[in-house]
Amino acid sequence: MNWLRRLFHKSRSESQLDKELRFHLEQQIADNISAGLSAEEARCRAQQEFGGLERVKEEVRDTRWETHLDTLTHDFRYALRTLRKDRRFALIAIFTLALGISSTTAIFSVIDCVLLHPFPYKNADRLVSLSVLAADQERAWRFPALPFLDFKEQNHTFEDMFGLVFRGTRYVSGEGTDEFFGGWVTPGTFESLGIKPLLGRTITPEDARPGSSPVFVMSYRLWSRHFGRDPQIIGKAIILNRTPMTLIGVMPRRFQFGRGECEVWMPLYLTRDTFLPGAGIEPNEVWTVGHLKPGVTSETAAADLQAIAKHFETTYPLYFPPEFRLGISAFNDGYTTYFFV
Amino acid sequence: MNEAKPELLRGTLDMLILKIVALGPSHGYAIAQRLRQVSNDFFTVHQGSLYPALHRLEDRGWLHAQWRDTDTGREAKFYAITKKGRKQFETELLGWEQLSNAVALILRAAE
Repeated sequence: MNWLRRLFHKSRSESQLDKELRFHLEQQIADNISAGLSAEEARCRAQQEFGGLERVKEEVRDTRWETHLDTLTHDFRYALRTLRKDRRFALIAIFTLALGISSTTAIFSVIDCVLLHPFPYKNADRLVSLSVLAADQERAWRFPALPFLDFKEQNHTFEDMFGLVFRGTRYVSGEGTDEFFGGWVTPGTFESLGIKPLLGRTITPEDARPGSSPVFVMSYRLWSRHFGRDPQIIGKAIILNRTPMTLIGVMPRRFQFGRGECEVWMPLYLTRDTFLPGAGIEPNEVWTVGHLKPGVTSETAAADLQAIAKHFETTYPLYFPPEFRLGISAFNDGYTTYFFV
Repeated sequence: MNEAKPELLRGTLDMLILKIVALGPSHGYAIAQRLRQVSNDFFTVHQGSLYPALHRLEDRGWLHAQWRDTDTGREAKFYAITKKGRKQFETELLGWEQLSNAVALILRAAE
């Protein structure tokens, strides 16, 4: 590595170059003298022929790439000196650059998250959620398990339909009590969303079968908050709502399903006579999501479901007010529209 | 000085230097002298071309340089050819032969 050595021993390589060229010159003079010229004449002739020691040196230096590195360093130093001389200009320049770079980055990350990859779910463009619109435009996003099952079993326009029942969850640790939302999800939810877990596995239909041991999946956020991102935690029993449940998986950082703040997901076994433990009707309200079949518009799907819901007005008056309409909203809509507003 | 003499073709200087150094380690001045002698005073290599070329060849690992005493007891930088340099010379020689053959063919055909 000649160039490396020269970079660190610049003065030595310079003096060696000088020595080498001087040797050449003196050799030439000596030869001229032995050819019969006077000492003075010999020196003159040799120097004339050599054409300037410095010029030759410069040409040799030009072949080395560390010379170019040197020039670059000089340019850089010059730039720094200029900036130091006019501090106000320097500050404005730095500020402008910082602002430009940061805003470009920020805008790109928003566009990437919201427009380019709003949801990393499988077939996210066909993913819709159901709502019930009252005559006064009041919109409800959840309804009981029975209409959910009717919709799921009798529709002709959905590829799949799945849902989530919210439930407040309490986790007691040495540091205190933490309360957050959890979601009971119907069998097949994770397959339909098509998201792989970061660690372990997600919930399968087998987990929802009556009699199987209670399991749950955790968000990346909760995993970081309480468990220091310990990968060994998979398979351990953790007590949620005073019930020991086995942790089977941790979801990736960006995964979210349910309300924004859902931290755990558990299997939900839903039948016509299921009534989930926990007081009141609230825990039985299903937030319903599904994939439209390819080519089906939301209008067609709404009409399809409306036909199933003909008698709901009288059966579940609490949830289906008079002259209600079913709303089919693209999953992305709520988020992308906000961005444009 | 040497107005009547042709410029060395670009790239041929490297080949000529390699050839001369292959005959035995020499310093810059000796290489210049040898070039002139061997070509019957046809080529005079200017120092401004010779030394950059020597340093370039050394950088590429084709020549190896060492400070040694000359016959007259002065210290000079001697260049010797390396194994890599020999290989390079063979390649350049082959290229040169092909080139000069091709040029000769064309010139003869044009007669």
